[in-house]
Amino acid sequence: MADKNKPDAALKKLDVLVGKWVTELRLNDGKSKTDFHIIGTDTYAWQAGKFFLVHDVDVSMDGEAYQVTEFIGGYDKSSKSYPMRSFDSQGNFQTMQASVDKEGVWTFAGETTRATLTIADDSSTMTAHWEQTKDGKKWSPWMDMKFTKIR
Amino acid sequence: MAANNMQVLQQQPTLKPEHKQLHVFVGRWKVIGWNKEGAPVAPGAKVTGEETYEWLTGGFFIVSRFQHHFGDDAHIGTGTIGYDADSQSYINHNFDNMGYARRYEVSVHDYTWTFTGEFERCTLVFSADGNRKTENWEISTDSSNWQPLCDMTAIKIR
Repeated sequence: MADKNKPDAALKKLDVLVGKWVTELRLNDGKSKTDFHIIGTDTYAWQAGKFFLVHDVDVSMDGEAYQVTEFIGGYDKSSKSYPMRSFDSQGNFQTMQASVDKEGVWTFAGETTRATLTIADDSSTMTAHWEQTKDGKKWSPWMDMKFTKIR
Repeated sequence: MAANNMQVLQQQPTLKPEHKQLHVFVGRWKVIGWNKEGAPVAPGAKVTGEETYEWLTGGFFIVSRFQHHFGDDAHIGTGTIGYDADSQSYINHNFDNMGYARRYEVSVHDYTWTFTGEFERCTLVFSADGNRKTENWEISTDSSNWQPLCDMTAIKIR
């Protein structure tokens, strides 16, 4: 608790994610490639104050429930990125950095995983391409995701 | 982004008795208290509020949602409490309506939980039946000189 602040204007760019999305997954790691199939939902909602976007993942994979609560924000001017901190049902705490380019393509960069997220012009669908690395140098395809906005 | 956090390349955490100890927080709590002289907003004001704590699937993290009202202002936020086996410490992250992402190291002894952050710290004591908790918060601008921030009592209503 301290002085009142105002959210950085850059946080407005996250507005495009707000809503509830049906989530589809396709494994694509070079060894196996599955078809897209619905695994659950992703929900993004602003917390009071609009400094942090709360991202809730509620999916099922191989019959097992998998949940994530993630906080995206505020905005780091020096790196032009948005810190992401996630907590999941497997006990992992992970940090990533989100950034967006002029074309509106988002990048989520973590230590061992990273993704690009492309949002359709009408903001009703988006696609993500995930990669992973073992050594932090060589990145290989991991999975693709599709999101369809339902509200 | 459903699976962005599946740490397939790393060893998965395992549930420990320390995770289960967090269950004492779970429920819905009615809060009443007073801001103290160190409060940067509305010092001396009465505090009312509500908090909920629930498990994230898997039993590793508690998710808390809180809103505390004092005068015309409010402190609203969401947080998590988990247990880090490497450091053998509970860790609390809070994200609030004032734009702060706070991290606290948390330790427990009997009914007393101690939250230690860079600029805030708290002693939280549960009653023996687990239906009441009292919190005494302190604030510092330099991490060495501390003054009272607020005192709160919460009653479990569910």
